Formats: sequence, C-alpha cells, structure tokens
Amino acid sequence: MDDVVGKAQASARPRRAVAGPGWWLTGFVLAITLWGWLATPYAPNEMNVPARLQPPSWAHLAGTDEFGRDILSRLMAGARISLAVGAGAMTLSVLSGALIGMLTGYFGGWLDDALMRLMDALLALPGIVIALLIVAVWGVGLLNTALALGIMGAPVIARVTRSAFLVGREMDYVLAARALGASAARAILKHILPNQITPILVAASINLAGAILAEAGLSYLGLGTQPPDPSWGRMLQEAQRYIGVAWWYALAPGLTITLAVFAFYLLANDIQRALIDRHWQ
Amino acid sequence: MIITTLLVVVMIFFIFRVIPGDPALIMLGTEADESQVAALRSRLGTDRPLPDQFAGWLAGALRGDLGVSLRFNQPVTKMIVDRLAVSVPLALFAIALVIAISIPLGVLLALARSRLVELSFSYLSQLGMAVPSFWVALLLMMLFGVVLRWIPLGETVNWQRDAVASVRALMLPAIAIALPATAIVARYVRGGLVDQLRQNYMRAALSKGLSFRRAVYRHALRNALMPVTTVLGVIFADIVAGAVIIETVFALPGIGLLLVTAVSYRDFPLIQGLALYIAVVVVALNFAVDLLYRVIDPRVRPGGSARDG
Repeated sequence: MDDVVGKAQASARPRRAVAGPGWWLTGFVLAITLWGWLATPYAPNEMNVPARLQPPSWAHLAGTDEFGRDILSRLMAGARISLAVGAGAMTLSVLSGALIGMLTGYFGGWLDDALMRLMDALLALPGIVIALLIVAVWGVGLLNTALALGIMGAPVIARVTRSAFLVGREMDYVLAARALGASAARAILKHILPNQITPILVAASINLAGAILAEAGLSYLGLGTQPPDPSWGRMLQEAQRYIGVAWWYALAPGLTITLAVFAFYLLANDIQRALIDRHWQ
Repeated sequence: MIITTLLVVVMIFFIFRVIPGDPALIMLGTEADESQVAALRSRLGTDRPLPDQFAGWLAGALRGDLGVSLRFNQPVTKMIVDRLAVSVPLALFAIALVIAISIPLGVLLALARSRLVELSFSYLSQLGMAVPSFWVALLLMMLFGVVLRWIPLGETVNWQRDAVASVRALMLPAIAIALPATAIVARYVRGGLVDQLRQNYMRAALSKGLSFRRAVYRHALRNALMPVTTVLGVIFADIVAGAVIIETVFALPGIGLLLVTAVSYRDFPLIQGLALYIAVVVVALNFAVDLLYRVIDPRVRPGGSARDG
C-alpha cells in the first residue's frame, strides 16, 4: 500500500503546501464569530416591534424576526455559542476517545475487549438519542449540551485512534524505542501519536462539524441552547411558524449552519492533504 | 452481539439510576411534598433495592412489558408499536429513495473519470452532508406547501387506515432524510467502485472478453457494494429508531417524536422503553447486515473481526 502511494507521489512534482478552501472557509467562519463577539450591527436581543418580519434590506441584511430583532445580528451572536458548544464537545470527544483508542490499540487484550464493547454499546444508539438521554437526565443547558455531544462523538474517535495505534504499535521504531527502555507511555505519546495523528485530527474536524450540526438540531427541538442566548437551531424552530409569510426568516439561519458545518468538513479534507504532502516531502 | 445488547440494556437502566438525585424528585421538581415523592417512588419502583429493580425491569422487558408511561398512562410497549405505523413506512420510503439515487449516481461518477467531475462531486457531497436535514425540511415545506401548494401542510392523517394520505404525508420527510444520506452513500459507492476498477480481477475479466459494462456490473459493483450495505444498514436503523428531528419538523407521530415528547416531560419509563427499543433495532439490523454480507460475499466467514477499521 505504502509502496503504491510512494510511487504515485514520486512521479508527481512535490507540491507546495497551499492553504485549501477548508482553511479559508474556517478562517472566515472564525472571523465572523469573533466579529459577532465584539460587535453586531444591532444588539441581538433588541426588539423593534414596528419593524417586525421585515424582508432583507440595507438596514437589515437578513431581515428581521417576529419581534423586529435583526436576524443577521442574532446569527453573528449565535455563532459564538454554536462554536463554543461544538468546540467543547469536540475537546471532550477527542480527549476521552483518543485516550480509550490509544489504550485499546496499544495494549490490546482484555482492556481492548472491555472498552471497545462499551464503545459498541454506545454506538448501538444513534448519536442524537444519546444526546437526548443525557439531556433527559441532566436537564437542558449549554454545558449539558456540550457534555452530551461530547459523549456522543467519543466512540468514533476511539475507533479511529485504535485503528491508527494498531498499525502504529507494529512499527520498527516503536520496537526500537521499547528495546531501548522507553516506557509504554513514552512509546504511545512520543513515538506513535505524532506519527499517527493525521486520522485523529481529521476525525476531530469531522466531529466538530457533526457537533455543530447536532447542537443546531437539539436547539431546534428546544432541548439545546436556551433563551435568551441566540441560537441558530432555535431560530429555525421559531422561523417555522412564519414560513408562509417570511421566507427569509428560515433562510439565513439554515445557510449559516450549512456554511459552518461545511467549513469544518472541508478543513478535515485539507488537514488530510496537508499532512500527506508534508509526509512525502 | 449479545454482549453488546446486554451492555446497552445495563447502560440504559443505570443512566437513570446512577445520576445524583432521585428520578422522582427530578420529575416532580422542588415543590413536591414528601407524600407525592413517596407515591411516585413506589410507582417507579425506585424505593426497592437496585438489583431488584433491574431484575424486575429486565424480566418485564423480555416479556414485552416496558412499564407504563407516567404522562400518558399507557403501556410503553403499546405506544411504541402504535408509532411504528409511521416510522417503518418512513424508513422504507427514505431508504428506497437513497438507494434509487445514490447507487446510480455513485456508479456514474465513478465511471466519469474526469478530474472536474470528481472534484465538484467531492465538494457537493460534503455540502450535502453539511446541510441540516431539518432546514431542508423547512425549505421543502416552503416550496411544496406554501409556494406550489401541492401538499397540504398540517393535515391530520389516519396512519392505520388512509394509505394514500400517509404516503403523501411521508413524501417530504422522506426526501429531507434522504438528502444527506444520499450524499454519504454516493461517496461510498463511488469510492468503492473506483477502487474495484483498479483491481487485477477487472483486468482479467476484460481480457477474457467480458464487455466493460458486464465486468462492471457483474464483478466490480458487487464488490463495491459490500461496504455500502453497512452504511445503508446504519442509516436504515437510524430512521426506524426514530428520525427524531424530521418527525418533529413535520409533526409526524413516529418513534422520534415520541422520544422528544418523552424527554420534554421527563417521562422516565417511556424514555427507557424507547431507548431499549432503539438499541435492539440497531443491534438487530447490524446483525442482519452481517448475515447479508455472508450471502453477498461467501468469503466472509463467521468469527471474522468486523470491528477493525
């Protein structure tokens, strides 16, 4: 396998690592989020009843909602919350998932059996169901949403990491390091992890995209981000009542969610490509 | 498989027991008085010792008795079975759409062999995965319900009796579910087929005089569809288990909406019963896919590790 890839790469001119579309789009999403944190065109919760349900105009680029609040401002303010919940969930998924994956992949044996059975059990429930169960037990709230989505994403990260470590532990340099007296922890963290990090980073980026999407879904159900925090998912839920009269209301939040999720999917592609490029230079 | 199921069962049971605090207290809130709490405790059975509760619940579940919903005062099993009249047709409808679109699309894209097609599909399919399905649902409602007025919105359907109205009511939800799923499955079909076309057996098939078409359909596609079966199984299980958000958008009285309702009311017996049902469906369908694998590909032997990868 490596041989085939190697030949293909050797025949191609070594490529300069260029920032792909994923990096640009992610940068754009982050920039808008930061902007929305510092300032928004209108205060996100400022009501202006006379200007309710206005179509997009120069004054309100994405229109206004049923209380006359500026939709664009609310989307910009909501970005921080969506991304923060998503990032929190991803951190939890990656830390716990990678730990489990490293241990099971490196040590194997009964530990592998026990932990992977547990992951299989988690995977037997669709992610959204796990998130709903956790919300049912712990109640709604930002932190609980992040926790729920974090647990939901962990099994996939664990599997990806485990597969990477199953390959990594067989490498000669790991054997050499072990022969020189390196501890298991050192072999895992210093030797295998840096060489097998690509699939984990790719999975993390996909996980972030999924977490943002799931947060929007939970908030749409009324079980995620709660008022008064503006939230993309809940905006869509509120917009549903007005689809007959205000087409723009449902349009902008949906586009925003799509853009953010798309950005992190593309980022996953770019990370994969960048690391392959670096590897073959 | 049995171990996994058992683990899930234990997990579902204990998630509501190990939590700090008392389910009865959580459900009643802080204003409930002592006698109300005690009454609910005995109704939930949480006043008995844990192993006793678990044994009772498990024995009931095996007999098909999942307890009684607190909110609706109905047997949980009956409520779930009633909702299947919506969730099963929805899942069949959606999965049929996914198969009908994604497999030809994937094959077409694999055979196109143009860098431009490849690149644009790669982006398009990722865009398809990024679009929230409930937003698609809203857009479909706007287009077909508000602008074109083809499909009446918010009509009440008798799911057991009126087949025509049921199919019509399931159309938009099925499309909304199918879109992201199609993007994923078409990626697998394309990727799998491209890999298979490079294999030596394709060269052999062509050199023995098989036409390209025949070689693709008889050999390559069959192999390429193996991993696709798994993905389809997962997607199908997800929908039968409850298309939680889509059912909510369209107010379809399926398993998913029931789960959302149960969670909103913190109806713990109902939540537990639904979670158990969902887990059993997913595990059973995974098992069915494994069996199907052996039918499609005789090389797959029982006991092989399907977990790696």
